[in-house]
Amino acid sequence: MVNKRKFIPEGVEDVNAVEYEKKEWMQTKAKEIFRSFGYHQILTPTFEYYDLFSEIESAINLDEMYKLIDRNGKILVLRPDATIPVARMAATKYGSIDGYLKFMYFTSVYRSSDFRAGGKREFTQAGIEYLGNKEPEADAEVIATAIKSLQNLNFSNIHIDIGQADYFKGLMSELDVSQQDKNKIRILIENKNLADLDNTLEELTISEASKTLLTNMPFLYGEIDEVINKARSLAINDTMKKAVDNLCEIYEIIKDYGYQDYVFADLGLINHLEYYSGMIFKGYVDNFGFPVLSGGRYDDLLRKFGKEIAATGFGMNIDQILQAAGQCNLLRSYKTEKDYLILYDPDQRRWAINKSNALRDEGFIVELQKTQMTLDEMKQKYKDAEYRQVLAAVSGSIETIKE
Amino acid sequence: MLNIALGKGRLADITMDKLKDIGITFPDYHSKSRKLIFTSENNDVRLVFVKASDVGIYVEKGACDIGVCGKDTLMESTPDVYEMMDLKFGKCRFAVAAPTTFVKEPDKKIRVATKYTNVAKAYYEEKGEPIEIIKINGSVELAPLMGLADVIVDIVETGTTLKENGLVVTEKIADVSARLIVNKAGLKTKKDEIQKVIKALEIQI
Repeated sequence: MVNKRKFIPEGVEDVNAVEYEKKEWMQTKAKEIFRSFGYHQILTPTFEYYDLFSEIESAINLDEMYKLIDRNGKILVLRPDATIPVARMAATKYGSIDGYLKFMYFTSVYRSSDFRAGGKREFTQAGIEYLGNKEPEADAEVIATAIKSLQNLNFSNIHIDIGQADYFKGLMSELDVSQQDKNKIRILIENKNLADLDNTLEELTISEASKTLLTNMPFLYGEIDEVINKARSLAINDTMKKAVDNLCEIYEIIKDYGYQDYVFADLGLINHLEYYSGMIFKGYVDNFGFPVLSGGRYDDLLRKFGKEIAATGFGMNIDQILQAAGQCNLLRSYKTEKDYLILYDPDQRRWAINKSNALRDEGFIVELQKTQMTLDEMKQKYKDAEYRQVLAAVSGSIETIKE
Repeated sequence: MLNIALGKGRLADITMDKLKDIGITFPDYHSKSRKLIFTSENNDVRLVFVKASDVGIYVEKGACDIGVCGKDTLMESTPDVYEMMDLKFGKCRFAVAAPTTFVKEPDKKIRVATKYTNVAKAYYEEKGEPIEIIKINGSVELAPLMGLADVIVDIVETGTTLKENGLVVTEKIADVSARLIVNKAGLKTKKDEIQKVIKALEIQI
């Protein structure tokens, strides 16, 4: 057997000091914006019961969760998602809420994914959950928070796609086909796979009108006004009409934020429909090949905990944001900066300690080091050191080695 | 700049012809060249040659915006991409083939030899039939002849190879043809450039 002492498992990594600084900077920038919208940070446990996730149809594949067996035989999972625990917490701890709850989180999430494709098993998720407000104003505010966060992270080319889950759900309620076929249709529309959609619909007995509508679904994306008009003319029942009205209202509010240039529509955003119950959105930046954030309204989730609490929010993968920022050259080069190094002769120890403490009290970063070197040796060794200033305390005098 | 991933081979040649028809040409390209990247005459498109089965991952990860590859590789690797167009060339089909003498015993798991293990698994799972998969990397037809497997799952074009080796198609799994795939973020952030290529290819078909 190969000795694994020097290796770490696939899908996890060490974060070095430079990376960590960058990551922390990104989180601070996002947090500034979340906080300015009134969100409070919370933290849910790293372990939860498997039942919490297995009994709720959600966005996470049960096979991708890391499971542990507890002492009493119960199955636990490493936090595979941030939203469901927040919903659990809100429903159980804030039973009757009067007004709104606004929570933000910055936390590790664990999921096993495809390592061959460079997938990660542990990543940092940041996000907000806005509970107790079912109005389109809340949805628009969440989208605005997302846009403002991306701006604060220095992204310029921001593109937000907004969809509405009810539009597709309304359409599917008209179709008399098996759940399996519905799912097949959903995936084909989500992947804008018109060729196979045509073939699949050909084999099903559904009305021509529904067929036309379904084959139009993959094209309902782009400029929001155009999509709204087209979607409204295609709507065949109240659910679909209401979905378009809702999208329209949200768009009007986003205009008041002045963010209309960033938002587009895509009614083909129909992933995780058992989870989302209204507006759905995804955010893209520049030429980065993945969405950097995604979110939506999920009113049904808290009902599963026996509470009627409306909810909307979004999450972003900080590791992916970091990658996108790197690709767009948004990160200044971070260097671990230290202010002072004080080198001292053993008999000057007390003076050196007092001096360094005085400097630390003033807010400087100071390191101490005992030395036996001559002044020339010190100057040679520390001329390119990462300290702003290097001082030497040798036999009764204080010399500046590097300035 | 738009990056297009192509699998080297016949699909690439046909795609290059189609691109030429819409005015995108690659002056330093010739079929014998060992170069892997070619830039178009007016510098707006870059062709990247990858292994056919890797086109999906290049596009999913955003290293390329557009890719052309067979439905067979998409079914096998199921990349998360928009599969926007059936280019209607490179047609063939996925099928199960068995020696003419093969009779399925109802109480025995069948052994399936294939290069496309995911396709085979998905097909038999949907049928509700338990199988044993044997991954073979080439000349799959040999496996049942040598007693390594009972049947094979493979792409079939004319059926000549099967026939010459005493195999017949017993079940058709799916039709296969070349597809145009697009990175999900790219369709939104490089909308105009990508739509131009799609529209042009659409007229061609």
